Formats: sequence, structure tokens, C-alpha cells
Amino acid sequence: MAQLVTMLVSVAGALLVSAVVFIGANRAVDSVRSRWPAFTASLGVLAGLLVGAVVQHNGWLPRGPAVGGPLKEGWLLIGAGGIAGAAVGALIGKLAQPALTRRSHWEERLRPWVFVGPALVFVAGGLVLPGLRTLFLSFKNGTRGREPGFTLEHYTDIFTNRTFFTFEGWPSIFTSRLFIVGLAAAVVAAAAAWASSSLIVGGPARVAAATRLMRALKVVAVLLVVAVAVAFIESLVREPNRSEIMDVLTVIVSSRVTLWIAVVAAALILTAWLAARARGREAELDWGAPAASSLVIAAAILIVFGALSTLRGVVWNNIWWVVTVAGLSTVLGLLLAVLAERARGERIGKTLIFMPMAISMVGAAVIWDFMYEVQPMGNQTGLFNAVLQGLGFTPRGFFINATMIPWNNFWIMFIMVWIQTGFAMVVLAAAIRAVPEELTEAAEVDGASRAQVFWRVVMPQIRPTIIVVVTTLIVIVTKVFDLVKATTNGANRTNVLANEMFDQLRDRNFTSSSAFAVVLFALVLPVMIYNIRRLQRELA
Amino acid sequence: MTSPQTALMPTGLRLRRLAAEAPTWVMWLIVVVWTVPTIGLFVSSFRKVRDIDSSGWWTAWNDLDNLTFQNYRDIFRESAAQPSMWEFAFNSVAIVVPATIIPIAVAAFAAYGFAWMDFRGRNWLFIGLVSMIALPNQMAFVPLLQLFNGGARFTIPGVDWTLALLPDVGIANTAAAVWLTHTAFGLPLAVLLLHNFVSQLPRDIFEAARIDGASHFTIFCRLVVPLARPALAAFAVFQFLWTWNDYLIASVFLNENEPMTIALVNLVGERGQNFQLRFASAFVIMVVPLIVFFSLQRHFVRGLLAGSVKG
Repeated sequence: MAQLVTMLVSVAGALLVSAVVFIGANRAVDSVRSRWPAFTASLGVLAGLLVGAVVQHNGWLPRGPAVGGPLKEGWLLIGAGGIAGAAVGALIGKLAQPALTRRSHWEERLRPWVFVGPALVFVAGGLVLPGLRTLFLSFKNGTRGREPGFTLEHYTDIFTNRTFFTFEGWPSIFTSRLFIVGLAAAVVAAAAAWASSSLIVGGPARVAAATRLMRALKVVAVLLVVAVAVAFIESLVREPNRSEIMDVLTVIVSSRVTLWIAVVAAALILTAWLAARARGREAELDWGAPAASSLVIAAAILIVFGALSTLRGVVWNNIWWVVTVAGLSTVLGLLLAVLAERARGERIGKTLIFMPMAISMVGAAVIWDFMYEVQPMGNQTGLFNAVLQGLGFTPRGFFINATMIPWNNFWIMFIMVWIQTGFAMVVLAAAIRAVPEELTEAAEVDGASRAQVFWRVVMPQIRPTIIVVVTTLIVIVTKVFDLVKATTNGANRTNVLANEMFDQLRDRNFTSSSAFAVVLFALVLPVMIYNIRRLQRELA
Repeated sequence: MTSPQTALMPTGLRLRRLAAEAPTWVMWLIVVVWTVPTIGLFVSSFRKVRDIDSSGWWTAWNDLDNLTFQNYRDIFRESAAQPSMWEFAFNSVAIVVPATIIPIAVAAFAAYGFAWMDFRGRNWLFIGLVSMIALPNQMAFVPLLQLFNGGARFTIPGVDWTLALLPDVGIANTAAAVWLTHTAFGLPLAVLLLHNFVSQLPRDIFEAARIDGASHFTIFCRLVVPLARPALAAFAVFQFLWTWNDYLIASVFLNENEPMTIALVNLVGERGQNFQLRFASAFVIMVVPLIVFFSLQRHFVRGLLAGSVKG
């Protein structure tokens, strides 16, 4: 009960003090015009209190308390400073009173700061200055940042340590099934883009060829989708043993020569594409075509996903988190937003998918930890392992077993997807509803199919919203912490930057903890710069 | 299923009917996948330890008599291993209430100032403040922790004079440290949301009020606050969910008087022992935000859209 009273009193006190400060500041600005000496007197009080506090706190008086001593002993001194300040201020105000027009002008100039001041103080004191100090600390010698001198070792420690950052294992990118399927999808997408552009701008022979090609591509695309699904599911559930053929392949592609060939090929393709664009022939490849754009997105996600699953270390892992969760949540959210428009029970369904947003990450971790539960013998009590067992597979510890590396990460990421999909869905559904009906109706009148209306009319309209959703997710996912802490605590190579930062902080390694925070900051810096530019355009 | 009418339909038409139903099926399939885990937790929180360890929660329907409130009774009772959940719930409330109210008040002042007052550097300050949304909170932890634990000092280089800029006011390890941190971290988004709303209010009413001689303070109290109530509610829901569900900030700044999320993680840590209690605890923590979510979903969605769809 005593605790309850203390809490109520402190809450009420905090609110009362805030209100008094705000109203008082407004009154003080009022008095600039109407009662000038009162204003200078109140400035004097502030200055006097400040001087008194500084003098007392730093122990500059002969027999004052020591530096950092309790404030209580110096109330008298501080109070005296305030009274003296008030007197001096009132005197100055009486002696020198500027003209009324001048003071009105000052009042107008001062007033905004009373309103925006508190927010600026909080943000400067709670985010900007601490951020700068973190940057400073990350270059300091020692662990607490007290020792003199600067060093780069906290950063070199991160980027030379295998557990944090390494390029080892990059050759397995080329044998990663996701990567191979992704490349195939990219090739098919290019063909589809060419074919659909030919339908628009080509001669009769070319249209005939393009029509046939399109028909074939539709079949290939369906096969690819199936292949993607199979490759993906297989990557997730397979036991980690590689066949000998794969070993041979790995040796071949891991040579330096292969790397250079890949680099040169990529450069050539990029140059050719850029040259085509520069000549103003964008229509040659119609990336806006429904089939092409969906395949391009799928290919990009798969290639990046495949590449990141082979690069290990905390930094790469963090990037993998961002790509996977931001990509999957946005795609799923968009899918659901489109489906819900034509589904029955739209509102209830949406609410249920949106619900995880209200659940804490820690709660979500408990919920899913239990879904992934594995029992060494007897009945499986985790739903997933029960299903696996029922289908005749061996149950697995989804993220508690080392044999699951690197896919154990994916199962934790999926918890985040579960939470964030609702966010993407709600925002994108609102954007789709905001697309003017005249546009979609006009397209339908012109004979566009449903898919064409979506990809060529709706998608360009909601593109800014998609970007906002993706950037928001990037910011949220980059600093993922609670989920990893509450599921694996970083064991079995599931660690992320924020968790490492927290552990260093708890061990009171302030400088290296700061270095991890700065690396995190560097990851979201592009998003921050993008946001600033967007705001600038909006306010201009 | 097949009524006489559908049976007479040509196959193509029937297929098209089926295709038209496809969105409903796919959506509800995802809905089921999305809700089943939470249901599993809910059911398990009523089961006995022996049952949880030996059979899946979906078999609980077979013998409903075995369900019990014992887990809930246990977490709300004080024991040697863990204090009662009431204590943690109380700590959570002590953190959440001020951590929601203070940023709303501060952000409302600032939103009005940025939207309807003219001063030098307004756009730059606004952009700078709002861009802090993307700053990872981790960037502020070490300095804030040092500040709360020992005040701020500055040593003038060369002369070797140490100035105490801010005294150690003794708020380390108290809820007040967590309020202040939550306020600073929540403000950029709050200012953006409220600014978007307040700046859309019609210019005429402010001009009319100014001509009638109302000061900015009067306009703020009498016009802006009542009119911006939807936006204030939207952000309140946001900040409430964020502070109630927070684990990171509480675990960085508190060693005692910890909120419920920390209690839950402590329960998860000790595997095996008190295994069954985590489900009931997790559900107890979820109940409050879920009630807020379902009753104020409209406001929550509005806040989400105001913060992200614009522009």
C-alpha cells in the first residue's frame, strides 16, 4: 500500500510540476509585453538559481560540500542566489525598459520556444547528445571510456572476429538451392518482360513469337513457383548432410576464377542494361508486366536470402533478419490486403491477423517456443513436431539444436513475421482502398484484366506506401532484441547485434557496447537519410 | 453441397465460382495459422504440469475435467522463488501510466508549435526531431545509464577542471528513469503523429481565435486539445502498448521493481522448473494489451496510418 501511495504521489507530482512549468513559462512570456520588470526578474531568478546550484554543486565556496555532494545541504545557497537574481533582474528591468513595439516583437519570437522547447530538450537530452556520446565512447580506450586516448580496436574487434563478421563460406552461395532457383526466376522474368513489351510495340511476327513465348513462360512460372516452394520447404526441414555431387560442385565454384567470372558477368549484364536504359529504350523490357514484376521480386528475395544464409556471423545475421522479415512481412501483408478485399469475413480475419501486434515480443517468444517444442521421447507436445512426426519425419529442435544452423534463425525470424504482417496488411489495405476508383474503372473499361489492373494501376499508386512499410520494418527489425533474448539468447549462432550490445553493456564494457550500437546505427542510417529527404520534400 | 442448380451449371462456370471463393479460403487458412499459437498458449495455461509434458495441448478437449486454475493461483501467490505477479503488475502500471501521459503532453505542445507558429529554423528543427524515429534506442543506452547513475561531468581539457553539469539526483534504478527514457524515445513519433493531425485543422478557426484576442496558450487549451482528441487517443494506445510490452529498456535501467515482462523472461530462463507457470504468466501479461487492442482498435489503426501512409 505504501508503495501505491508513493507511486501515486510521484506520478501526480511529476504531472503537476510539468503543468506548472508550462503555464509558468507562458505567463513569463506574457509579461514581456505587459510587465517587463516582472519578466527580467523571473529571468534573474533562473540565472540566480543556476549560479547558486553550480557554485554549490562544484564546491567553489571555501567550506561548501564536495563535488557531486547532495543538493539538500545547499538549498540555502541556491535560494539566496535566486533571491539576489530576482532583485538584480527587477532593478535592470525598471532601469532599462525597451519600447512596447520592441517587446511585442520579442514576445512573438519567444512564444514558440515555450511550446517546442520541452520536446527539443527531451530529444536533445535523451537521443541526440547521448547518441553523440555513444559515438565518442566507441572510439575511447579501455572499457569504461575513462582512460585517455582513442582507438579503433572496438571496431576492428567486431570485424575481424569470426563470430561477428566473416566472408567464409561464400562459395556455398552457388550451391544454395534458393540462389539457383532465384537466378532461374530472374532469367524467366527477363524473358517475360521482353515478351510482354513485344506484345505492345512489336511487328506481327514478333507478336506471334511473343504470344507463344508468353504461353510457355506462364507454364515455366508456375513450375518455378512450385520449385521455389519445394526448395524453400526442403531447405527448412532437411537434415544437414550434403551429397558428394554437391561437394564436388563446391570445390569447383569455390575457386577464385569462378568468383571473377561471376563478377565480370554481373558487371556486363548491368552495363548492358544501363546502356539500354540510357538509349531510352525502356520499353524493350517491360518490367511493369504482371508476370515479370512478381518474378523479379521473387528472384531478388531468393537470391539475397540464399546469399545471406551462407554468410555467417552476428553482423550478417542481423542483415539476414532485416531482409527476411521486411520482405516476407510486406509480401504477406500485401497478399492479405488484396485477398481480404474479396474475402468473406474480412473484418474478423483482419483483426485476428493484426492481433499479434498487441502481444509483447517476450509473450510471442513464449507462445512460439512452445509451438516449436521438441520432446526427446514419447508424444511430441509442440504442434510443429507433432505434425512432422505424424507425417513420418524425425522431430527436430527448431532453434535449440546446433544441427539446424543456419535455419534455426529463420524460425525465430518467423515469429517477427507473425507479429509484423498485420501491420503491413493494415497499412497496405488502407492504401489500396485510397486508390481512386476512376483509375481502376477506366482500366477495366479499356479491357485490362484483373491482374493487369493490380500491377499496372494499383501497384504504382501504392508504391510510396510500400516503401514506407519496408523502411518502417527495416528500422524495427534492425534492432531486434527481445525475441532472440527470450528464445535462444544468441546460442547456436542465432545472435544479433542488439543482444551482443546488451551483453557487453551488462558486463560494463561500455566502449565496445557503444561500438555495437554504432554498427546498428550504421545499418539504419540509409533509412534515416531517406526519411529526412522525404520530409524535406513534403515540407518544401 | 451441390444444390440442383450448381449441378446443372457448366463446369467452367462452377470452376469460376470456386475461384471467386479462393480469396476467402486462402485468407482464412492464414488466419488459422496466425491464431492457433495463441490458442495453444491459452489452453496450456489451464493444464497440469504432468499433462503439458506428456501430451499435446490439442488433446485437452478429450478430458476437460483435467483443466485447472492452479497455475493462475500459483503465479499470484508469493513464493520463495518468485514474488507474486501482482507486484510485477503493479510495477508495470507505475511505469506505463506516466510514460504514456508525459510524452503525449510534451508532444502536443510541440505539435502545435511546429504546425501553427512561425519561427526561425522551424522546418529544420522539425525534420531533425522527427528523423530521430529511426535512431536505434541502443545509441542512447550507455550515456543515459551513466547519467542516471552519476550525473554528468565535463572536464575542461588543458586546465583539468571538472565541472559537474548535472547532479546525481538519485533516479538510477527507479521508475522515473524509465519514464524519462520512454518519453525521449517515444517523442519523435508522437510529434510526427500529432503534427500531421494538428496541421490539417482548418486555418480559419485559428485566425478567428487570434482576431478575438485569444493567446496561443488559450488556443492550445481550448481549441487544439479538444479537436486533436482522436490523434491523442491514437498515440496513447501506441505508447501504452509499447511501454507495457517493453522488455529492453526496463532490463537496461532497472535492477529492482521490475515490470511483468522481465518476470516472464526470468520464468522462461529456468527451464524445467515451474515450466507450467510461464503460460499463465504470458497470458496474464497479454490480457491488458489485448483488451486495449480490441476495444480501441479504431484508434490504433488511425495512429498507424497517420504515422506511415502520409507522403
